[in-house]
Amino acid sequence: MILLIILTSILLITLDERGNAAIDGVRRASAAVMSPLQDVGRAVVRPIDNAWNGIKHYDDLRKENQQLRLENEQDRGNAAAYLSILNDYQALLKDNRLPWLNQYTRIAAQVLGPVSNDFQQAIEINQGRTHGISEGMPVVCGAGLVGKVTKAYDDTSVVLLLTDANYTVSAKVSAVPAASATTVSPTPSTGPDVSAPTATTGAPSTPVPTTGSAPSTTRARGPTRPVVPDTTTPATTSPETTAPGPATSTLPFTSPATTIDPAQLQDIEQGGLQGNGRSALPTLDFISADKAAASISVGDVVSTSGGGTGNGLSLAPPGLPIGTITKKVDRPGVSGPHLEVTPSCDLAHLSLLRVILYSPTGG
Amino acid sequence: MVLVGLVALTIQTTFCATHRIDDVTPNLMLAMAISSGIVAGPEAGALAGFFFGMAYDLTLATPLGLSALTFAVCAFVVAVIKDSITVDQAWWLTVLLGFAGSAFGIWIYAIVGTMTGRHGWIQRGLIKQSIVVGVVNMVLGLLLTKLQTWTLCAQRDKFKPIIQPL
Repeated sequence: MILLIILTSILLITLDERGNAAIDGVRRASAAVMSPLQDVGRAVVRPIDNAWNGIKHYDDLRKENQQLRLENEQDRGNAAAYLSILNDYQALLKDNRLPWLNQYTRIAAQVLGPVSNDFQQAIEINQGRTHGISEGMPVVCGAGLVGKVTKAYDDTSVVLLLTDANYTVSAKVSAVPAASATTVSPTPSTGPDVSAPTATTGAPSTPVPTTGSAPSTTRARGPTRPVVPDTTTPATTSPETTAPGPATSTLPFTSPATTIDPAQLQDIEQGGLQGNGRSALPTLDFISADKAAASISVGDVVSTSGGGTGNGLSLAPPGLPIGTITKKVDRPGVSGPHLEVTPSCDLAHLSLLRVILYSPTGG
Repeated sequence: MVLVGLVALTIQTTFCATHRIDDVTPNLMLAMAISSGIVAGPEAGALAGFFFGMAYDLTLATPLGLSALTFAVCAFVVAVIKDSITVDQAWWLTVLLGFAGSAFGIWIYAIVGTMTGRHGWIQRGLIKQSIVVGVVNMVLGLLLTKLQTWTLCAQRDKFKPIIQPL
């Protein structure tokens, strides 16, 4: 009897690992059956949770609220400046026929809760196949990448967080030089030819950065909290009509902590970001050690690099912020440095997310 | 048993998922499987553990059959150990088996998961996880064995035609 059960289980594991339509159908059916029961369960548990958290965490919440208000005030001050830089960058990508973030439709989703298994860092969201979501699509919060859709049912999906040990994504490091106190010159001396357009083709989408840390004027490196363009509604028109605002060739601000001299922008290193479970930070290992790797430092921004070919096609478009480097360990030989990355998003307190309807083959 | 399983699964995916103890999620479904083994014996316990595990697998993104295999083996082993001990119906035995069986189940789950290609499942945090889950299931075991006695014993006659030919 036990042998039969063991063999049956092994058979099911093997079939599921290889992908089986019948098993997928059973999963979808069970999700449809469990969904209303889970809704009832959450409705019953929520008042108890709220009462308990109100009693136990009120002081902490009040302090956190005060801190967030202060940070919000500082962030609002920098939002316009960041928005201008972002719009210029996206317009340059579009003009040079490179993938640009605003071309992808985003579906807003609410986090239903974590998956009830400690071996997998995953959460459940309230959007699924009926909204165009499919497995592999990247998921972001206001601050950056959260993970990818690993299971998509009709009305819900399971999102594997980037801290999970089985999550990998190709990533790049942008070594941000020290901020200068001068206004950025209109014509960068390095990089691709940029002839900024002076008119838009349609209504600008006005992406609004949702988070960002207040850059400190005393810090040696530039801003470390990147901003994700956030379209509040999915684009229903062609990408041409959702172009960002008019790109300007000069940056209108002189804030010391947010000006960057393009002449000092350093080469970008690419590698693979790998999650390491709940108790360790994700790490970034480079494909090959390069002399430019010596310039990478703690505080540099890590974002998705996209690209790849065949089976190595990245499941995330390029340019999604992931986090910042918080530890660098140099390794001998050609292994390249070992980098620990702190995610931009607070993965323990996710609430509202966006699923990017991005497919590496379809764009 | 189906109704009890559904209720347990709902509690597992809602209450247990959001109420962690020292950052460890309680595993009510494993506790149900072990209680089945303690109450119903090796074969019936393994079968019940298989179904509880299968139901749990359908709510997770891990391979289907992983929890089913783990819970079935766990329930079987716990039942065999219980049957080999001559002390009968002692509450401390239920508590001890609940703890040991749960810790064993967590490790078996991690090992089998690693064998199916999952990374990072066997790490230092597993010790804390197995202890916390063991303690919680140890406490729940007394209640769940009473529940499973009612659930499975009421259907024990239905199991016999399935188990006996095997």
